Amino acid sequence: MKRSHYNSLFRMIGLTAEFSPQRKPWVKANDRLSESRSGRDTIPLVAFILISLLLCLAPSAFAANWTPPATELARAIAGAAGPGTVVVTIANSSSLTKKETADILNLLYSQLRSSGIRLVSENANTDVDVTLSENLQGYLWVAKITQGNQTQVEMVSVPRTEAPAAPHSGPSMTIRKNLLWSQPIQILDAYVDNNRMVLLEANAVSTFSLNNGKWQRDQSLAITRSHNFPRDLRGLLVPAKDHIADAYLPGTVCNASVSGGIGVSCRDGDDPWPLGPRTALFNSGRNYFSGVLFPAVNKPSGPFYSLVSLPRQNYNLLLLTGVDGRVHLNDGANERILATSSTSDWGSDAAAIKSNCGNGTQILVTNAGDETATDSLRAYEIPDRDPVQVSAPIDFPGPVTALWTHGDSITAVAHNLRTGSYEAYSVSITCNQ
Amino acid sequence: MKRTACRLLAISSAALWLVPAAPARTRPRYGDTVRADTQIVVMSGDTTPDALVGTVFETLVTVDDSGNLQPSLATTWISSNNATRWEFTLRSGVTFHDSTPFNPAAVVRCLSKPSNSGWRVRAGNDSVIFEFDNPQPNLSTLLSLPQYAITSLTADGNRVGTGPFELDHRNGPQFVLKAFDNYWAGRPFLDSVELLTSRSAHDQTSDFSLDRADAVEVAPDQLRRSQQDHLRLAISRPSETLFLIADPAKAGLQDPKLRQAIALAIDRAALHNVIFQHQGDIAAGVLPNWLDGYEFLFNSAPDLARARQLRMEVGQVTTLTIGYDPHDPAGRLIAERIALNARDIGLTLQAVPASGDLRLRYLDLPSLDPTAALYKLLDQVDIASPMNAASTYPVERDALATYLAIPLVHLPRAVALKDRVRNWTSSPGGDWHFDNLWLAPRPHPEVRP
Repeated sequence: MKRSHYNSLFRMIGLTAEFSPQRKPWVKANDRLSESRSGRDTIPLVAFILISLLLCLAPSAFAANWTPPATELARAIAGAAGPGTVVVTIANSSSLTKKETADILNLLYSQLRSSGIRLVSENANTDVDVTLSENLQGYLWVAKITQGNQTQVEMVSVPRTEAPAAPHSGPSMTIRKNLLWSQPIQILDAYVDNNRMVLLEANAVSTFSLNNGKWQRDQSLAITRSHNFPRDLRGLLVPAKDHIADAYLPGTVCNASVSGGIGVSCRDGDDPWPLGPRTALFNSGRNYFSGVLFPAVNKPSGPFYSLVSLPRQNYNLLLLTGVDGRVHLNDGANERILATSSTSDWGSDAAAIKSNCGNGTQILVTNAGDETATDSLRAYEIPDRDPVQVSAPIDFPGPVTALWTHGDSITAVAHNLRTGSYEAYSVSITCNQ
Repeated sequence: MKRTACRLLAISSAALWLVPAAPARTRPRYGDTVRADTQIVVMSGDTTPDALVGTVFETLVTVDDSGNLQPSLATTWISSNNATRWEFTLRSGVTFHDSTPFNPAAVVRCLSKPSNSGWRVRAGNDSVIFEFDNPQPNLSTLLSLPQYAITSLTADGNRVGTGPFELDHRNGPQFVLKAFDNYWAGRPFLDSVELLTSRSAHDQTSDFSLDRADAVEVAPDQLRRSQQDHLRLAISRPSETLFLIADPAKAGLQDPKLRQAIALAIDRAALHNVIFQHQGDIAAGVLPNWLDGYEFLFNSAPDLARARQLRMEVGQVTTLTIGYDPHDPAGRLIAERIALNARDIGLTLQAVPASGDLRLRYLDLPSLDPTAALYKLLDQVDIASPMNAASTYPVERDALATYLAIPLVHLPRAVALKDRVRNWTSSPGGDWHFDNLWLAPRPHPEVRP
């Protein structure tokens, strides 16, 4: 943020702002300054009262969030200052926005008055320097209360709020994502079937129903297992006709059912995981498929992370993202490796998606990177030898940790780097005119 | 931390002949060995070095990158009786590296050391119970510190842990760790880690240049140069603090007024701007502001008038020495600058490449929890602090008022990484985590049918 932007904002609301190379802008509430900050710009109390009135009239989406800590801090200040007059100086040295700072400022003054504090612009019994600070765990509002030679410090911790991520769309064939569910526990897979959502975690299968347009968890059915799962855990849900779903986890297969009492029955087993028209053995101690397919192919491609089936006129072309870092194309009889130059920015995960665009089936591919970077999905087609990108990327707020095809849509799970939550999205493709 | 001036030249040249980028993938790849160098010194008799906590050894609770306590070997914990009784429920399905079971008895054996005499610890069914005579509201936090790692003694006298890697062997300063297949949170991606400790900056440079190391440390005073050379760097928040430690047993320094006078004479901004080239932050507190949020309450600006007044009140003082690490090229410059500042208040300080009456000491942030970090840091500089303080602010304020440890600058910790290294997730405090690390495969030659 440039200095001029801050100044114009604060001028707008009647405040002055200062900038130093090492500190964020300080917002002054009146013309009385503490000794350590002498020489900075000030505004009179009258202006502040006007500002407070103006701010009171303006609706504030965040005001409710800040009310409890503002009240707490105001009470603490009132308790320490006792009866009498008070000069309050406020500064922001946190990442709070200008709007949030103004909201807090307004609330704090209001709460101080409610607590019986008589605010004046000078010659007060007590000087209070309030700093909106920040630490690793959240915001920290600090009040330094000075009465003569006595100084007292009061602090209030305030949890940090999160802003929603901005969506992104591409210019041609458009990938769309719809957030299904977000939670701190890792989501391995999820799918929506009519008005029910099924979600897989390492230790549970959960079912959800729609309630006033929002998903509500109905059941959480515990998964029992006799061994530790590998790191970078993967899991796949497969809808079933006679029960809720089958859940495939490394070395474990579960059956979620409602008949005869809701529950999940699990057993140790290396049953092949259904991946479109084929099934594949998953390495129970790792994060990839062993390379063994059913029905088998003449020339196996080795261990892989993802398998995509692309329907062709008389056969299915298989695309595999190999553990060897290469992308393999296998038509069942022959195998070739896509040029590294055309796939060097591909991630490990790919899934097929049906659409009414192009040749009817696209491959969605994650982006190269690791777990510390944000991710994106792009759509490709393979009309001839090399893949052709047919959509702009759609961004995710963190690495995509799961990408599975479910019918005509894809489920993508992203690990939001900012919030730490796992977010399950339903991904689809629409055709642009 | 030791410093070397010329190491970046060699590291930069190494970057010029880095192998082409490996095929990019997002999914972690299993296998391979990562080689990392550090200047951390591990004594030959130290069987549970702090540097291996989190990797080989684990604590009951841990602190995440947001500074919040998280379950580790304990899944839940609860305090009662005004925090004089704590019960930690232990994780099931955990074994030590030698396959002995991790259970309450093992934890009690480990934590009943004489140095932990402040508590009475006993085993429950699936838990351990700590009892105190006085309230200990910070116990769960403090148990995240490396000194409380849970270990087991094998029949041949070795210490084993429960972490994602087990110690395969130690060859002097080199620790060879191998993946623990039965790790409760999943086997790590790497097969092994070769950690070379006590490695000088010069040797780290050579190792990186000759592709003998995948990760080496970069000193703060060399960071700007590394960035300009486009080295791949992982830089922490300012988490290593340079302190000036005063020995109160030395003549003259027994008087806190003299220590305060020295503190008020130091121009920290000059150290920060000139020697560390604006890397990190000027330090006023023991903990950096990004961790505690209140460091700004402490003063770091020089006050020569007050310093001179205090100096005069002390009276005659003989020449004092300020010691620095002779292997740290920045050390001499820092010591000489402080000596220059002291001269302005009529005090003669002599910089010496050894232990002095005052000495420069770099200390890493030991935890991302302010309470645990402060407790451990003050312990390291021999300032007693209560374990059960309700708030860190008054403890830190009182510790700073002794002027026994004068914080000068908070510095970032940086690591230069090879291109193959993925998921290098050093914490905001700069700690290394190997459990989620993986290496990309070396590039394949282009194959055309």
